[in-house]
Amino acid sequence: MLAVTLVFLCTLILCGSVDTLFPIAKKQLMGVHKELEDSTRMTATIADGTRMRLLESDLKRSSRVRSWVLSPWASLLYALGGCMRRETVVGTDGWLYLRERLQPVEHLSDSGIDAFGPAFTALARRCEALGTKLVLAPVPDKAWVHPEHLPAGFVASDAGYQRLVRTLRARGLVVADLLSALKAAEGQRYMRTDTHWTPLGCRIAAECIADSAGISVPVEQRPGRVVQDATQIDTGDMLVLSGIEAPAVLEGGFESHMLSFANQLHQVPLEHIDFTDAPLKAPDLVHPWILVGTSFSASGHFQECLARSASERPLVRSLSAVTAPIVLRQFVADLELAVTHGIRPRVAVLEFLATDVLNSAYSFTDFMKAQVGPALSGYSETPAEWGIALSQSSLLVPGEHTLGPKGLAAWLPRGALLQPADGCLALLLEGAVLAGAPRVSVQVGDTRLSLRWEASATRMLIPLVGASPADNLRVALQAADGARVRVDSLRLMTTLAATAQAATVGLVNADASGFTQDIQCPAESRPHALALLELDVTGTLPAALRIAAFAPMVDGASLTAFMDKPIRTTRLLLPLPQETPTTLRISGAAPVPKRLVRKASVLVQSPRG
Amino acid sequence: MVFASGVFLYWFLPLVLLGAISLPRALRNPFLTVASFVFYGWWRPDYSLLMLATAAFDFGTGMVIDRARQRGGRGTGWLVVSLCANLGLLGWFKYANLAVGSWNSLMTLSGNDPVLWTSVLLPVGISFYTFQSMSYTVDVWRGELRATRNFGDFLCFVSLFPQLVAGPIVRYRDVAEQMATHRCSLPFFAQGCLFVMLGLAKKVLLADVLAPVVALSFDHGAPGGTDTAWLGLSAYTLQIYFDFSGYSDMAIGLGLIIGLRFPFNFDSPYKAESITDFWRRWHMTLSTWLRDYLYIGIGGNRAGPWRTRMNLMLTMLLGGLWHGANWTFVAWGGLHGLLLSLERVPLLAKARAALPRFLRIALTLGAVMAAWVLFRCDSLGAAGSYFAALGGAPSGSGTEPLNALQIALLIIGGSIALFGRSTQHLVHKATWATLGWAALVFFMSLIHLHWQDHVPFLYYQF
Repeated sequence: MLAVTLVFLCTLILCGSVDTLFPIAKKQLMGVHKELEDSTRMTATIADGTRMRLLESDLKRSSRVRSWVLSPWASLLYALGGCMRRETVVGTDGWLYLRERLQPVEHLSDSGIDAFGPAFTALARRCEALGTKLVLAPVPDKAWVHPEHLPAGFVASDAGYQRLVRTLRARGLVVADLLSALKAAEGQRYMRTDTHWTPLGCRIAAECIADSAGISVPVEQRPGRVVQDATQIDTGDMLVLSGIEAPAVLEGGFESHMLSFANQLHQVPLEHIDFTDAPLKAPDLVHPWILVGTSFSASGHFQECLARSASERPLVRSLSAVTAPIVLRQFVADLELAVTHGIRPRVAVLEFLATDVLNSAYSFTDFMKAQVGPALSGYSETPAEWGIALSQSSLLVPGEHTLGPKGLAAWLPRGALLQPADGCLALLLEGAVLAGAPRVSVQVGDTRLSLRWEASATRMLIPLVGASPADNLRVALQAADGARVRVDSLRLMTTLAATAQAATVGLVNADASGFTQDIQCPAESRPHALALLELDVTGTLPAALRIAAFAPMVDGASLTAFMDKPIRTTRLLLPLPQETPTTLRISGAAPVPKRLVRKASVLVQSPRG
Repeated sequence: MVFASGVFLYWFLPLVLLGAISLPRALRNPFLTVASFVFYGWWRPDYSLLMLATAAFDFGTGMVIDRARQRGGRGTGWLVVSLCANLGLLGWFKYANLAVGSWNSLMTLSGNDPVLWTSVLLPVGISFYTFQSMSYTVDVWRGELRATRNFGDFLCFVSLFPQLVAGPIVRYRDVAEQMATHRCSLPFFAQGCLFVMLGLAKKVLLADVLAPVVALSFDHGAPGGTDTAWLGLSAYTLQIYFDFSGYSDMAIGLGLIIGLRFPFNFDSPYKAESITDFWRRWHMTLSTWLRDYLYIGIGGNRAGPWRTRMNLMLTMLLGGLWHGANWTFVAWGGLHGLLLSLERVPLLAKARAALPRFLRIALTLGAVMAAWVLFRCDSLGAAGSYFAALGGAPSGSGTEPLNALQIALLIIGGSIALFGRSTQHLVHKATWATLGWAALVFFMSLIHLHWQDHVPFLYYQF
């Protein structure tokens, strides 16, 4: 009696205690995912049970015990009986399919498909007004391309896809028929235990999209040969979905799991396309293409494909989004961002899952109306009061915030930071310091900029010089003393064109302990001028070097910008006060051989009037 | 909140046990009442008010009826009020949608406009706590029970979380004394733990693993072939048994842990040799409730064989309707009523008695399985198609093959259901081997809970 009581109680109390005392840190969501999560949490109430369901969901996700047992148990079930979670259909030869895309639901009728046609047409017209050609790329389901591995009883009918393409084309829209292209090809186009394309599938899709966009890719330049990477293996996302690979947790890095058994169970060698024999044709041109896709794996191949064939450099935005609404939202956000930056993408490719539309997984029409319409029609390219382009949405949630040591952070993923050809990119922070001494920390790639937010400043300009689409942006408001701030907005800002005045000085004051140099900048008549400080470096600066640049702020306060290690860029962007000659002071706090930093130059840029 | 969830097992249950063990007797029932309301209102707190109102109303009518009886009357008027209130509440929340839907079908057929209607949401467990509460006033009216003067105890009885949402249906007269005196003791506690461990394993390891097999056959319109139809029906026969009896075991176990003995609800029902025997073994608290408060109330077997058969049929029809607002449940109850009536035909009874035992069990099981088709299908039309598929009519084009685990569990589950002992027997005759097995399947259930998605108990919908 005592034994059974002890077993029962000890198990429950132990599991509860471990989960309570050692919870797994919550995964940091980003971008649209975070927005959706925040929205869900804000609207959740106790009355309708949504708050309690969220609590249960949080407890489940933070369960330490779960992270220990999930993967081995899932692996054991799969190994013993091929038992997967209900979302996955086990086909022949180890092929896995997503059940929700195989459900024998009634596909939309022609009129049903046509119901959201106007929304697509409106989007295409809006893109056209921007000088952008919209290419729709409905992604076919794996089962339609590889029906040969489906288990008995499942029929893969792609008739809905054909009707979708036909209906959209009848509206004059450009549609890439990926299904026909993928079916016509030979070889494995989808991965066995994954929902994504193989490199071959990616290449076929990318070429099909390029063809639909009117980009002629010479056959001889179509890259390349598929090679298997012996050193890289993967389990496939559908095994992960079944818990065979426990969910990774992002909290300053990926947490390791007890996965050795699970990972070895079902490994798939990763493949890639070898591009080495197809050199880039025009890598340095400015205006990018934009691809927004559900297919993470295709982006690299699409980029490579276009880079070798087009006369313009492609920018490929690849999203690991799960559902089409998120992708569409991101698509619109990207388009807005690009236009805000003064960039007119020549082609925008909207890739979406055909099954989501055909199975009416959500109200596609309502979504298009609610999200795409206002977002595209509402933004302002050149507000008169700024003479610059300013993104509409704030990166930080407006309102009053108390800052802890972790601070209040926002970030933009790779691909978002597009430097205009003839302007500057910056962040504009508007708000007020209510208490304490907060700092604004901006990290672009590996470069970090730390600014003090003066109590008197209600507007801060934070330069993002040197940022490229390859960089992430992370911006955080931080304070050690629990400072309070009011954030009105934190937005990306771009000067569309700039006048430039240069001042160059030699670094005469350098010695063994560092260097200090003042640089005089002429008065600038227009508001929001920026000084681009550039160091002429002949070699690699020491990693320990800390360079500071001092300048008066826009609102009369001072600003000190730092370049922390490791230094990748030798440029800093500083705001200049209006109609006042300014002295910029740069200093290096570590010994710098004089020969490395020969001179410093300043380029003053002011917005187009 | 559901038993088979982390929040219940790891947080709610340990905290409630701590309170139930450590608090003095005077505070124990109020504490359990609060805990039960938290349990019930976890997802929809507003429906707790409905349960509170039901308990308060029946407590009041019980007092009035009791007072009337003390004065030499019977209080029948108040009983009628109580029955109308309880059945009215049940009728509104459970059957209004069916009534309006059926009316609208008739209107549409006759070319008239249907009534505009917003569906009424069904509060979880309303069928169970309404029956429990209603039986109290009936017992007081019959003089089998004195009305309690302690509203706290009565509210605790109605809301008691172990059996609140899916039974067993406990009557106040069975636990009235316990409500005042219950306390945790090691023998009860240990037995309760064993019940919970085995019940959880039945639910999580057997019923939930078989659920996808059932869904494949029943949820896609056509079962997809004769073999699939039979497999799906077999899986459902096991799923509903292990799901519901698993819940009942957990409820009984949780009751024992806090010092209360609830009546057993299952006794190896698939070993029944007749439909009459089946109802002595399946959902025993419902069948005895229907017998005591409905069947006997409308005359029982006191008015000759034909009237008895009519009463049986009526009882089972209403019993079927109690399960849900769908004509399939009525048909299910009707089929059971018909079979019960037929078993009382002397010639047939003699013929059945002459059959070997295994054949009697097989025939009973076959009939029960046939009735499960009605119980599981969404409509009578779907049930007809399913019966056709069972009979070999072409239906669909095959379906997903079972994996090895599902096949193994079908065999294991079938063996347990047909040859295994009931949980109460296992618990009361527990050996070290039983304890070892119970611990093993308990651990496996907890692990499996982390892996699988939420699968609600089937009887939550009733």
